Amino acid sequence: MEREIRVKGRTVLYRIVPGKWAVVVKEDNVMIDNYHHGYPHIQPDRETIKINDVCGVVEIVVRHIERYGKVKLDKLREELCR
Amino acid sequence: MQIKFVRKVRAEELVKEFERKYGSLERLERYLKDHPDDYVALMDYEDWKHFIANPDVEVEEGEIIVTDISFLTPQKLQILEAIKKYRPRSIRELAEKVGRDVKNVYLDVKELERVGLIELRNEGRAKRAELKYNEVIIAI
Repeated sequence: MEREIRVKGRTVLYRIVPGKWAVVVKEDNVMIDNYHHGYPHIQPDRETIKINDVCGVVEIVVRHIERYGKVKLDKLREELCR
Repeated sequence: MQIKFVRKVRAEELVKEFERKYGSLERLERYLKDHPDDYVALMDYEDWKHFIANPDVEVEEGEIIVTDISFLTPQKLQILEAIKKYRPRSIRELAEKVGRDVKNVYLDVKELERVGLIELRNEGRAKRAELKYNEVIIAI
């Protein structure tokens, strides 16, 4: 895709395909998805997260970025996995 | 403040975009061997393989920008609305629809193009602006 959104701040990109979804924060190179195994996980180590709902994941990621101005991976893991 | 851009596309359209962006699936595969942590490319790769087997599925794709609202001025929103409503064939025609000076509309259009909200297509000597998303949602 030639589309690039570049404005101040972070870009959370998500894609929903029937049965599959992925969420990526471009600038921090973070990916959360349910590819391959069907269960939702966070890359790169594929730690399982507790939420299997893309809207819920997006909501948490966006609120996290609003709070910290970027993705703090350890804190985001806590928020998604607890 | 969040601005959410949403579009719904068929898988085959996304495959065409992947081809334009990466050339071929094999080329993307080679790229990922060197750049395994490029997650946008990884997502595209996984989806591309899935779409080959399921070309008719509908895909929802969104980008959420966490930013301040100052980027989307009332003038730019008016331009987006006019593009959707009137489908103007040139920037000049677009300027007429929004009742503003062509030069100022052109500057706004270029900025909207730069951030990826619209696409400019050559039509003869004129440039036609087209929306790239079906929906823009602003959440406070």
